[in-house]
Amino acid sequence: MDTNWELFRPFGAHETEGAGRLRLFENFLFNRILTAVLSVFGAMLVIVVLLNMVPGDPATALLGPMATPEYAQRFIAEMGLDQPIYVRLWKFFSQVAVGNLGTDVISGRSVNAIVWNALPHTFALALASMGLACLIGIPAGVYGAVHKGSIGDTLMAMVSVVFVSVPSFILGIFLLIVFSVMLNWLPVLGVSDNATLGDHLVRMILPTVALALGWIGLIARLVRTSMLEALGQNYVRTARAYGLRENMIHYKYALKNAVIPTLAIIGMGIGRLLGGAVLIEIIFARQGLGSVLYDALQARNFSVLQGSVFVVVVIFVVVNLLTELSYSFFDPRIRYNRR
Amino acid sequence: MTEPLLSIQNLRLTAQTDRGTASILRGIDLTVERGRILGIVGESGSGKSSLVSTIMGLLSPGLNAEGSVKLDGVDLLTLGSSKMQALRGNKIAMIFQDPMTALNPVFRVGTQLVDVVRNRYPGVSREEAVKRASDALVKVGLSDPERRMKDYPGQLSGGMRQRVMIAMALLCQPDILIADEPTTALDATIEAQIIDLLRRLRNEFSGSIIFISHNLGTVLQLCDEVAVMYGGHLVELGAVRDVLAQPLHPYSRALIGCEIDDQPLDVPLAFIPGKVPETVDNPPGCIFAPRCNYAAEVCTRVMPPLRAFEGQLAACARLEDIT
Amino acid sequence: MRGLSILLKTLRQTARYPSGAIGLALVAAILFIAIFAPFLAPYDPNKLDVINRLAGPSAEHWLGTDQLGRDLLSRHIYGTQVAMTVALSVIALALLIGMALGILSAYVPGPVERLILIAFDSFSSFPSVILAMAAVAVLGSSMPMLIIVIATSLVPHFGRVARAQVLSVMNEPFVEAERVFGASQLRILVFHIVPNILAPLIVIASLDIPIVIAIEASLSFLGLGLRPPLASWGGLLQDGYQNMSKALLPVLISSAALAIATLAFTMFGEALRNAIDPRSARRPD
Repeated sequence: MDTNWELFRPFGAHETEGAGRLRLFENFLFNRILTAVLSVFGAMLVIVVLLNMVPGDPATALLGPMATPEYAQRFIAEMGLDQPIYVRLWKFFSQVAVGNLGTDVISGRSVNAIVWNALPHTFALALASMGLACLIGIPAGVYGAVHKGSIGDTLMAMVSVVFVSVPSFILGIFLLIVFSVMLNWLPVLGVSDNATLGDHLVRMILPTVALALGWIGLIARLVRTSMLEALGQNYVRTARAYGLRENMIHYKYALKNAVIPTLAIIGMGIGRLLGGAVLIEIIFARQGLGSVLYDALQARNFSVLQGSVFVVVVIFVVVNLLTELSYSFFDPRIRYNRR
Repeated sequence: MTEPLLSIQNLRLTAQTDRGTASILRGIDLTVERGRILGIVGESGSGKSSLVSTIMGLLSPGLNAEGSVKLDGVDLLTLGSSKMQALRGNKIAMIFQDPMTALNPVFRVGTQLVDVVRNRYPGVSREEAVKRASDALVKVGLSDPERRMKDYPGQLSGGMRQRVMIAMALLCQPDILIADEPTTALDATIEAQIIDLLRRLRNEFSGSIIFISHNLGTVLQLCDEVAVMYGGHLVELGAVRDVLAQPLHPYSRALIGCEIDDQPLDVPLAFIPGKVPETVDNPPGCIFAPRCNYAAEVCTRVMPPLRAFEGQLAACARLEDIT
Repeated sequence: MRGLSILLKTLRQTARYPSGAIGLALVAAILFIAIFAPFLAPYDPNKLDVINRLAGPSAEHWLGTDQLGRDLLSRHIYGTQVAMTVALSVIALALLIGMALGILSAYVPGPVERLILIAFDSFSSFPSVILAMAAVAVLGSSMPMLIIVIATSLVPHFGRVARAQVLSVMNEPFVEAERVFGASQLRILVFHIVPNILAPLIVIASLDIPIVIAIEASLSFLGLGLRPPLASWGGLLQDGYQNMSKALLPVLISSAALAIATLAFTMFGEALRNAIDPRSARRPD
């Protein structure tokens, strides 16, 4: 998403500082939120139109050729498939406005319950992966920048290009083969219903690592680049001139400057991870939003599909929005810059 | 007589480039006595900043320094990087040219000052460090130090940031403070205030100061001695009043001459025809000869050494003929 | 002729560093395999050999056979052809549509511009795998449909870049000058705008190829994409994955094929980006 940072910057001497800044920020906030709402709406329009384009008879597809015409009729009416798009869209959004994602016609459960049940699993996976990616990627990037051109740096550049380019579900399959099938260290399957916390954690290792690898590579590269830039700045020379230790200069003074530009990527990455999580959840047979989506797709269960896609889109858009806003929170240059 | 605080002998600085060996400093001899303020003037490219980077041990990789730089009898050029690091912020500290970029934009002013204090005095508690930092801010003329400590550099004006840098230097109580054109990036009124502040702090400050400037006026106001640099050489050295009143070296004359004619003292060094010598050229004669009005045949043979003349030192072969 | 020499020069630049050279070589090899698949494959990829199911590597079957006794080498060679057909068609389609919409949005301010931008935002509000999953599940997964669906999810990416480029090129002095001398809008568009925005778009195209390969493979892996018996890498991966407990080699081969292809195109794409836009290669020291 293109961000107009100029909106943050220009408050010169001609403006009373606080008020002008606040007004510009409000404008910016209003614009971003409006765009976000519009794109959620547009995305749902895309999905509802798409579901309307289903070829053939959905009832037959769902119920099989053996269903009686009466039953099929009732089914279509319950799913709302006999109504025009705008009615369905209106119905969907008026329900969503009061926090109701509808009812799953096939199982009779509320879509809210289905989604809420799955969401914590997906969030845990996405956040754990991003956490791991930052934990390894940031120090790796710093190392690469500080020891630029060393063997370690070159080696890391090679490893990170592999991590960045190979899709996470392929990496997941490799991990599965090595650690579960060949070495038999870690269990293959997802969590059962009466699993202990320990079981949950052990079974989360491989999917978390699989999702994290790509982001480790990406974050390491980004941090390395921005770290190199930060190390060339005058404030690093100042810190050296006052005898601060290199470790402190690297990990405190330069790193904060280097991490801020990568924050946006990390934040948006959490949104992207939701997409990657779908596949990983299926490969590792985990519960989660991805599995819900996939099962709904397989069963052509449009009510669940609509609801869960809506939740994914909202999370995606909100995470992106928060990321943009957090930028101004973390970066005093944007918050306060007078120049 | 006691040993000088800083003693630089035959300092040469070279770098290997695509076009050959570049000589940035071509044999500098210089001493700084305790408690004195030495001004260094010269055009950009004359080697002033390289000289102080060498003293600080902050040379870019690829630069090679020879000779000796002795601080309290210890040769800094032979010190290892960790020893040198321990010396910085302790015995030597520096104020930089561009206060806009010299402070870290994403840390509060207080954090940066406190880190410096606690690095300099490892035993000091956080509270004590905060107190010292805010006292220092008051000393450099910043009101409301509590608020300033919480500010980010971006919230301060250029003059205020330079005051913060000076406070940082004061907090270290170094034996030698290097100020590398601390007022160049500021506008004239702020510049005057900063110079005024530095003059007042002279008494506060027990160590020696090396003050680099384009501006002879500020050197006159602040310094005891002045060194004139040209093309990697020290061409003149003497008491400020003497050198400004009676510059010996033709380059100093040109420098001071073009200022004194009819311009006020606080304008930057004026234009001298010809261009600054290339660092990769090594002409046999005097480095200034190509631009010198007084150049004679003798000047093309060998670079004259710094020698005493009428109470000053100057590196010119024809001092007797031209004064 | 001029185009050819630019192409050769760019490729030489691309191969200047080891990673670019390796990427270029691998990409060339992959394209070669894709084009000449029928001549390279030792067997018909769909020929069953029920007696030799999940056989290990042998003189007859270099990479062994799958669960139906089909030759894995031949299936992967044909899989290369499928992957490249999908990837290149998707990229071409997304590039054309994205460029057209991007130029349009830059040229026609007002409602049209706003509509296009909102559409871009809407389509990029999904993780692209999820959009593609939903679309193929509903619309079916014939190869043309798959190509259209994946291309659609990439259009905003190309569109935004094209738009930004047009907006910056439009204000360049040489375009202003053309306008002053009375050149038509169309002439300016064809001779100045398009050539100037093409380079960054080609870079994006090459960097998006691994993404397309990954999306297509994941859809086919999930059984939502290309259907068997068509040999697609994703489908082969699914076959191998299902039989992982009986034989590890098939799943390893398929994932290796996907890993090598995505890696090759990424390395090539990054080297190409550095060759076309040297600014991006400049590392701050």
